[in-house]
Amino acid sequence: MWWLNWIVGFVVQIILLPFARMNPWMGMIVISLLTALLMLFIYKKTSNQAGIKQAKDRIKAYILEMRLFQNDFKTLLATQKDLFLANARYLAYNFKPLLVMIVPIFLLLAQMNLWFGYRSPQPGETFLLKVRFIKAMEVDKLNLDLEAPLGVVVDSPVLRIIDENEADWRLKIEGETSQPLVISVNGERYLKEISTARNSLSRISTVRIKKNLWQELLYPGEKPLPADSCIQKIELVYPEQRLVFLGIKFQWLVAYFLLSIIFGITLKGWFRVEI
Amino acid sequence: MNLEIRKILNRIFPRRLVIPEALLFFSLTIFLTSTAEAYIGPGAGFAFLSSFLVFFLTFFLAIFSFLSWPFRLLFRMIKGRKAYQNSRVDRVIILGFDGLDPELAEKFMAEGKLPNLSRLKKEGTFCKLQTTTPAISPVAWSSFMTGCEPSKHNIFDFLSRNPKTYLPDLSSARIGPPRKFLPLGKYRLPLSKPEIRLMRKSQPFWKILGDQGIFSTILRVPITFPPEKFAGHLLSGMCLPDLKGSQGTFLFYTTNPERVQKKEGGESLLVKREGDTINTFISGPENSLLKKPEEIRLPMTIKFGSDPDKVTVKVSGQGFELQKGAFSPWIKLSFPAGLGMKVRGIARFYLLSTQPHFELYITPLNIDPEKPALPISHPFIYSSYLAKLFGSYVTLGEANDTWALNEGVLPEEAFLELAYSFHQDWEKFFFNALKKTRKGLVVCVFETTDSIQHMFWRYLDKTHPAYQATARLPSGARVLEELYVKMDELVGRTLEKIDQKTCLIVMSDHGFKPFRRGVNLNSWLYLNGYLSLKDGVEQSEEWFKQVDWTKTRAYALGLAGIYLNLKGREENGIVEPGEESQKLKQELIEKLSGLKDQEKGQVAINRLIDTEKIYHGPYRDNAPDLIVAYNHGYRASWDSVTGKVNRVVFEDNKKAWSADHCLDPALVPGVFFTNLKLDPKNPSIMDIAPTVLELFGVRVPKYMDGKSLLTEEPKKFVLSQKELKEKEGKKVKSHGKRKNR
Repeated sequence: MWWLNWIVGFVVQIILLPFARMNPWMGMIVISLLTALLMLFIYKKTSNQAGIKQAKDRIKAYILEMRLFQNDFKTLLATQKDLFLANARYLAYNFKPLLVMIVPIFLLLAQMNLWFGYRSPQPGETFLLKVRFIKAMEVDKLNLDLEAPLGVVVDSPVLRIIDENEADWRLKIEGETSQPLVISVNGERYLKEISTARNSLSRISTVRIKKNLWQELLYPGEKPLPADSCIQKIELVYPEQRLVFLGIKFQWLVAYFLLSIIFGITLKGWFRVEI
Repeated sequence: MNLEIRKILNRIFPRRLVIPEALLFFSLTIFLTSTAEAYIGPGAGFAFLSSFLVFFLTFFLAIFSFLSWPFRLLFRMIKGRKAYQNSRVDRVIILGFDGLDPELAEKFMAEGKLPNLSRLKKEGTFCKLQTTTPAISPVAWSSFMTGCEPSKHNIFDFLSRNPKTYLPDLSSARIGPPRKFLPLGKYRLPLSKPEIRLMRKSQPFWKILGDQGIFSTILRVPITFPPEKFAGHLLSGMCLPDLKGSQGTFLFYTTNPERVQKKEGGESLLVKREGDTINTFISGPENSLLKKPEEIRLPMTIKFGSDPDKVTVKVSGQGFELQKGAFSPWIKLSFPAGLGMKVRGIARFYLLSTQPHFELYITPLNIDPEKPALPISHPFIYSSYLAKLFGSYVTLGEANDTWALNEGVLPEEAFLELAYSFHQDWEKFFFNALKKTRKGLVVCVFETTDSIQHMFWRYLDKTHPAYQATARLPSGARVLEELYVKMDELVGRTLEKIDQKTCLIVMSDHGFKPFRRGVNLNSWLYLNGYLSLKDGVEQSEEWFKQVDWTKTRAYALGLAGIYLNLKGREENGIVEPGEESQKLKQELIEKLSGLKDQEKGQVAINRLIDTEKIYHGPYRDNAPDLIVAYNHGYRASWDSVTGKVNRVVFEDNKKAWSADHCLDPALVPGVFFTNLKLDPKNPSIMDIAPTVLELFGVRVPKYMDGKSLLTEEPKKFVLSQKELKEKEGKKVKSHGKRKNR
């Protein structure tokens, strides 16, 4: 799975790197546009375009019918039934392209979360490092140690949460670093990337997980921990990033959702695609 | 919300649960992931968002309908408190078959080919229905809807003449540009609405019904463009123009120079094949946004492939394949008018041949019903509703392209295929209206019967001049029979849908007779000294181009009318109104009544009718002064209709258009069938409106010339097949019971 994540990550990096020092909206606009194009391509190639068009037309027809026969209660009820059925048919037609689209979009979203999901803490800002262990491990009996690179300070002693099988540290940023954190568990060393980048758009991996197909798909930022690792997950609790437009703060997914829909709607006529 | 779903699903599915099936995996991905992973792309976004919106809208509308229902009911009760109060029926359905001929109907009924019409005849009523003078569809259907003679509704022909120019105008509607413009470079922005005016006067009976709270659905009744407001739905019919503003202009493309000549009702274009490509254009409407209006042309590329029977057409941003001998579906065409505005039309393509010459036919550019450039329905959304529900459909008033067949462009099979495909759409609209109009009036006029009879009558008569010239269809002799059978089946399916409180009327506006010989009245008027040509000229091109109006006393225009060149009325009138005009009329009546076609030894004109004597309405002055009642087999010649003058009065009609009804009205009555047992005496098409009003218990206005055909409470309704079976079932059951006893 790692190679797949690496390829997708590389492609996303190529796309977003030119915008690293620009307003994050720029990168978001470009990637939303490309997603819209990909979606249109997939819809055109995999969906029953005639069926979708017919289903959409029927839906519109029944909405008009409700307006045309608003004084006829029986007809109105029958129209509502027809409308629901047409809507169900429309959803059914969307199922196939959705299935095809899920794969690339899912991989893309996981990558985008690395770029738009979080920001690096500012110098002086603290954040948590959470290490969750597998159930077989007894966290209170583990010999734990944390080595922070230059520019990062360990701000608190380890906190062992037995119920959660988790050990937490509070860290503080003091300067830039490119070295990883090193977590020692009973003498075994595990690395975790830590980002202190100042770019407005940078790739930040907050989670490293143990080798597992599903988890790897969700957290593609770093190579997974070995399958026999006693650690389930290492997580840096970074502040979430928000995209600001006219004073309104947008969660990146909302911005992506809106932009890709707008691009899709704008371009579907050009490419003659029914969505 | 997604987190909540995730929590719930996490409880249902333990975290370590392995789900091998990819489908389930991806489906669950939508729900099981955190917010960031929940969105699976814009396509899904559209699908789910729009579906959700539809559900929401439906739910909202449903709630709104429920809540507002009592108020609307109350409003309707107050407004239409008298609706249906004295009604003898819940519903009246009128199936109008344009031109269905009583003699042919009787012949086929006698042969047992029309079981449903025979049933109506036997159990209900069947008789001939007097048509109007003249017996022309726009005139007759206008009288049908208003219950009045023509001088009260102002429609006397397809064409009316402009007395200032002697040029023809469409009689039913005026479409003119807006009056105010704002100049903007090479454009002029309209600041007012364009003029779209219905020339038919008086009011249709469904307007009267609507005022009484009775709902109607009116489909493709002629002379309903532009649509008038009333309490119901209406889709305009005959006389609705195409996108070019004409009554139907087909396009014909060919690489054969010999086939490019002036085509009536169409445009032919000589195209050049370069390698495997033809680059040409579709000529669209005139761009009235320009200061100097010019035709909008849509580039079209035709590509030839390895299959000799196929081409690929690229036009208006889309590509599609055309198979030789098969119609394309409706193709949407957008004509850019500039300033971001587009005029939308639809057309169907038919590849006639690729070798040795390329030939392509395109139907007239119909107004796109989904986004109509002109109002073609009431309410405006009704045409769009039908298009969304059933797909694009023909909107042109005279839908069937008789000219394309007449001019030898469209083969006979293709003409029939196209005509029946239009007919099928109209049937869908009709049955949809039937389903949704549980109380009220449904009228649908099918022009299929008219067009096919016009074009295929020649197969009934092998001595017809057009038979030798044009009849090529092996099954041609059966075309009219099949037409009548199809209409009978439609009647049968309609009978299935009605109950005892429904009155069904099946009618036509006129009948049919063969059109063997054409009479050029203008030539006759010229040869007899009533019409003069300019000095040194022996004939005139169309629309009286070489006529000397200062010496002309009478002229013929349209299918049945003769006008006097009256002083004070016509621009260059020379006939004094009063005694001189009366004398001239009398003279023409005497000379033309009984006019003999010497070559055939037959009377061509039975009589001339002085319109002063038969019309009494306020628009009598717009009528022709005389109406020509042609004999069986005769009609105004093609040249006469368009104002051509020469020395030939009689000529054979060798066109596929081989039958007509523009002759003596007494010779071409229509049909009247109903499931009511009536005993009408010589009923007229004008009687339908008062009859329907009376069926609904609505007072018949005094201005109507027609009389109700109801004499007392209808005695009996013909039962629908379903009811008949139920009744028979009950009979059998009770009979069985008696037997058992």
